[in-house]
Amino acid sequence: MAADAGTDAELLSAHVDGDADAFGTLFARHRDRLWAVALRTTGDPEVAADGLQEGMIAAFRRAGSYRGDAAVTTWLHRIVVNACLDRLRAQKVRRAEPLPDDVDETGRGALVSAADGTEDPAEHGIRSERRRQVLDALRRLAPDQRAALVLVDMEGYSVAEAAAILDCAEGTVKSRCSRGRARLAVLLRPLIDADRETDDTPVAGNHANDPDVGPTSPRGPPIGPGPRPTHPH
Amino acid sequence: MTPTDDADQQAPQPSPEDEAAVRRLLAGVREAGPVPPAVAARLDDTLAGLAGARTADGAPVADVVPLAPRRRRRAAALLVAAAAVVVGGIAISSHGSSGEDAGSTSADSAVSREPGADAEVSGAKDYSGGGGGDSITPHDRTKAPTRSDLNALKSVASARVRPGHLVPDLKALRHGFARQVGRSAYSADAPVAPDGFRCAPARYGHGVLLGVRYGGRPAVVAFRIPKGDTQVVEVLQCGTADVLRSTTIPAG
Repeated sequence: MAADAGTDAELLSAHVDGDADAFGTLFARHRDRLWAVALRTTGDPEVAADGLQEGMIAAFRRAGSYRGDAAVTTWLHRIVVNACLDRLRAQKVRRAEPLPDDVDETGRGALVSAADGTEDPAEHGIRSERRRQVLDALRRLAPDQRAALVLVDMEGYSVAEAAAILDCAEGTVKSRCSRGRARLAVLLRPLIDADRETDDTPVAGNHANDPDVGPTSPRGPPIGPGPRPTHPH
Repeated sequence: MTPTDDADQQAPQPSPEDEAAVRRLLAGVREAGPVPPAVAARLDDTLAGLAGARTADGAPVADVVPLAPRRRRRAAALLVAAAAVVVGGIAISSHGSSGEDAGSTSADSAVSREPGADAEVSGAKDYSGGGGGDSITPHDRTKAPTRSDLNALKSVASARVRPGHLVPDLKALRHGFARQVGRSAYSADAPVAPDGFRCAPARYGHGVLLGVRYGGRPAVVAFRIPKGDTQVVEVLQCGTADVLRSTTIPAG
């Protein structure tokens, strides 16, 4: 199979058949998104990198067990998220202390980059501080709640998709999201109050007025630089 | 604060507006960038190592056995041994014997499933209900593989099926027995394998079942009864009957 051809399922099948390049192609399609989920779920770049690597190895070796009952990307996410959660549980990671203001948790440098170089330094500082506060608050949640919120509110997965990834009932995802948001509403009260006065920007992820955590419209990650998940089957 | 559910239960339910604000804040910190170069390099190195560790015929995935219910582990102790014996034993115990099988040896019945084996693997897939092209008519079920069937099948069992050459290998396997067995051969529900072949019992369904090595490991290839010009063939996991591969080949 050509390295750049085929659906996710075809690439996985080709890998099982012995294609030397298929898995690399498949994983490359999704690794940025998997990294994002791993990073936000763990709240720690080192743990995220370990979890992503461990998940990749597991997926490589367990490709033959893929049954096709979920999209390949869901299957990949499940493996990586589980690897991350297992690491958190095993290491009992608690990162209560905030990261240094000038170091992004991705290890790439500035916490918030001034994309066009024209942003007011003061505004830049405010955005960085807001970001830091949100990430700090997120890290204070239980890992299972954090994972649910990362998938639904950050990555834009539907509740059903998140449930498939987390291998739990949809109601469990809703519950985790609800409780996680309740906790964050307390932790982020100053930001919320400030936003209420000045910001009427539409929600970028799921629609806020939906009765539960998931919108009914077709779902996917917020449109951005990262690749959208594919659902070949 | 402690990241526990107990602490969360104390948090008051936020208003819809507050919940929307929280979701907006979360969406605003979504990680949208690529994997950092250092992490990407690490992944690439790991992937290269995995690829390099592949066996010569390129089959690492067979090293991972799908998880099975714990009860199946007990069944794993019940190893199927010699081939002809297994098929003969099952056929006799399940359906009685036709004329040619009346002369089965004592070893035939000795390797029929041990008591409780069916219960142990009851959670395994049952292919006998159709859907896999393996339906057998009541008339077929009254027949058991004949001695000549068993001999023909035993001569081709334990072949190597390469994951990367699945269809050609299966076709070659079929070619080895197709002209030598009758329809009764498809009534078997236990694999034919040579002496020393170890494969735990499971509900493999009816068909021509052969013990093979798939990706370097024991597996069962199930040739379901032909339908028209085609025939479904499955590679099944020993002990669980989980489908490792499935394909359709010409029946002619």
